[in-house]
This record gives sequence, structure tokens and C-alpha cells, in this order.
Amino acid sequence: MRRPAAVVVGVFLGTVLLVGAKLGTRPPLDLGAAVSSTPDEPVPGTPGEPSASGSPRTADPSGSPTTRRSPAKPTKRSTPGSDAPADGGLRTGSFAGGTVQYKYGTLRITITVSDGRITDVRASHHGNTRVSEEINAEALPKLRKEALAAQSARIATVSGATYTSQAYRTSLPSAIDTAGG
Amino acid sequence: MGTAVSLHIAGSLPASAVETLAERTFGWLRDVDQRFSTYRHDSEVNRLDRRELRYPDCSGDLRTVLEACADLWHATDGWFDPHATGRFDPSGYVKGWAVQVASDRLLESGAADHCINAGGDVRVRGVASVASGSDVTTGGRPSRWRVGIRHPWQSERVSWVLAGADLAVATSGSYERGRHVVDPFRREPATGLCSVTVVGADLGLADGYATAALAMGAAGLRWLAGLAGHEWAAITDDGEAYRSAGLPVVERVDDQRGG
Repeated sequence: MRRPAAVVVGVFLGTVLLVGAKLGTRPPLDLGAAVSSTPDEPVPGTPGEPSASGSPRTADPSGSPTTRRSPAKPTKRSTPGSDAPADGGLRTGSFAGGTVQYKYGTLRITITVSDGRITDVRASHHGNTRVSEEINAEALPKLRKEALAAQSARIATVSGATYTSQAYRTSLPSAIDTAGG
Repeated sequence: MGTAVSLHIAGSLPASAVETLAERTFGWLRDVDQRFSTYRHDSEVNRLDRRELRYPDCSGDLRTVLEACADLWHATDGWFDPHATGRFDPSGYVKGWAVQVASDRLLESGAADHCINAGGDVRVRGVASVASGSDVTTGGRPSRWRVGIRHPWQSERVSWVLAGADLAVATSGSYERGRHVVDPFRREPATGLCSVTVVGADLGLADGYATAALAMGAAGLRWLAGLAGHEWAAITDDGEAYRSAGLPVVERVDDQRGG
């Protein structure tokens, strides 16, 4: 079966494909499903180097000592394929692709490899709502994350999004202004 | 602008002086509304937008606003864009600017202690007087102005309380009027952040920066973190709260008001 290899190549080389996936023309779930639907066959070749030999390098990872690798400590890598074992297996662990800037923000692919097979493909899309984890990791010195409070305090006035006059009458500022004279 | 403005002049000025200053302040804000509103067909801004008015014929105030908008556009890498909606609409700057001018004039006129709130954009100066009547319990001692930042989904609650003697506090948010801030690059309503507050010395600038950060979406957090000379607070659509380390928050809000 060549299809898994093609899909994996797509993961690493085909940013456009992934953008398409993100936008719904090809749901990302399909990628994982395509890979995991062939549990008996390891992903041949290193990503980006589809095997052309036609002969599976290993028939079954569970039966082939050459592809069984002790679980490696998961590491973050920008080029997951470059360090793959020469025998064509993939190292166990989670591997993040490079961040890709595109029209709607930043995209980063992370794959999870177990026993030479890709078991999960995740696309993290930064630029809309899920940037907070990355922001945290950067530990910007001037930035603090804290619990969103909801307090009722004695205050002179309230800063908030522009409200209509009607909304004003029913919201906190009017109460404060009235009470504060 | 069609929004509510509240003015609080503190201190010990005679009542007649306070009334005069209040009339002058509201007169100025009404005047700005007449000339800069995009909702009034014959406003100066609309006539400029329809090219019935040429730049040399613009009022000094409008030229000031045009230049400030151009500066903001540069300072925000185009994220503050008075043309984001496809027409010229400087509202993201005008309200803050108008209140800033009003506050400056109050200060010049001897009203050093005041608080103006125009639709959620706030300028406070000096100290808050202890209000009338029962405030003898506090012995009449002056207190700092306390400005709450509204909670995005609980209109009766605040997320932070700020205190200071000279603060311009501008908030842009999507929770009141929907996603009205447009991402100028995608030309679509901005998402990611539901509330951005910028605190500085100039309310027009703070207003423009808050609008720009909201337009950026979550990437605005990083941009805000690098914004010099200002403090800020932001809440994501997911309800995560961020703020700058130097935001003048009141950490312990002890004198709670019942309900």
C-alpha cells in the first residue's frame, strides 16, 4: 500500500494540502484515519522519501526486531524526517514540524509516532483563538496570565466596549454613577 | 456616536463653575459628534468620505484626526485602519481623542480632579472626591480614582480594578455590539480576543491601540506585550485573561459593595 506514504509526504511537504485540510476540503481526521487504518504496515521510508522499491522493508513491526525500537524520549524537532533510522522506521515520540506562516496565521503540525507508525497528526493553528499556549511558553516578561475575575467593587466608573445608551442604563456604570453621585 | 457620557468633576470648585465646565464639556462632545459621526449624513467625516470636502478645506480638528489616524496606521503595522470597513471611519480614534481634549481643557480650566467616561473610554485625573452626603464617614479624605474594566460576559462585574491619578483607559470589545472591529487584512470581523484594554496617558492613542489589538486577534497579545509606554489587559474568546505586569491594578478590593 502506497497511500500512507503519500499522506505522510503530504504532511511534511504539502503545506497547501494541510491548509486545505484546515479549511475543510480535506478534514485532518482523514490523515490520521488513513495512517492508522493500516496498522500492520509501518510507514515506509523517511518522510519526504517515498519508497519506490515496492517491497515493504518490514512486514510487521511487531515481528521484526529491526523496526522495534526502545521508546525514545519525545523530542521536538523541526525536521522530523532527517534523523529517521536508516531502516526506514520512524522514531517513537512526538515531533513538531516547523511553523508555517500563511494567510490566516501560523500553522504547526505535530505527529505522534509509536512503533514506527504515525498514530496521530495534529495541526495547531495559531492566529485565531488557540495562541495562548504558545504565548505562555514564550514566557514574555511583561505578560501575565491570570484567572478571569468577576468582582463587584467600589469604583468610580467602568471601562468597557462601547455600549448603546440603552445598554448603559442597564449596566454597571449607570449604577455606579447613580450611587456615586 | 450615540453613546452615553458621564462626567464627574471632583474637588472644591463652586457649583456654578462646575456647571459651566460641564456644559462646555458636553458642548464639545456634541460638537465632535456632529462633525465626526459616520451616522450623520452631513458630518464633516461623511462629506470627506464622499469627496465633497477636500483636505485643505477640512477643519483643523479633522486634519488633526487624519494625521493621528495615519500615525496609528504606521504604529500598528496597518492593524489600525480607518478604512478597514471599506470607507473612511476614524471612530476607533475619535471618541478617545475627543475625551482627551475635553479632559485637557478641564485641567486647563482648573478642574484638576475629574473623570470622564464616554461609552466605556475613560479619562481620570487627580483624585476622586468623596461623594456627597454620607461620606463624612471617610472624613472627607481624597481617594484615588478607581476604574473597573468590565467583565465581558457579566455586565455587572469587573475583571480588574485600576487606580491612579492620571489614567487614560480605553477598551475595545466584541461583547457589546458584536464583532464590529474588522480585521483590515482579511476584511472580516476580528476574532480571538473579546476584550482589549489599553492604559496610557493619551486616550486617543489608547483607543487606537486597543482597536488595533482586537483586530489582530490572539496575535494581539504578543503585540501588546511589546507596546512601549502603555499597560494593557486582554481577554481571549476562550475566557483567558492576560495583562501587562505594570498594569495599575488594585490587588485587594476590600470595600465591596453589596450586589
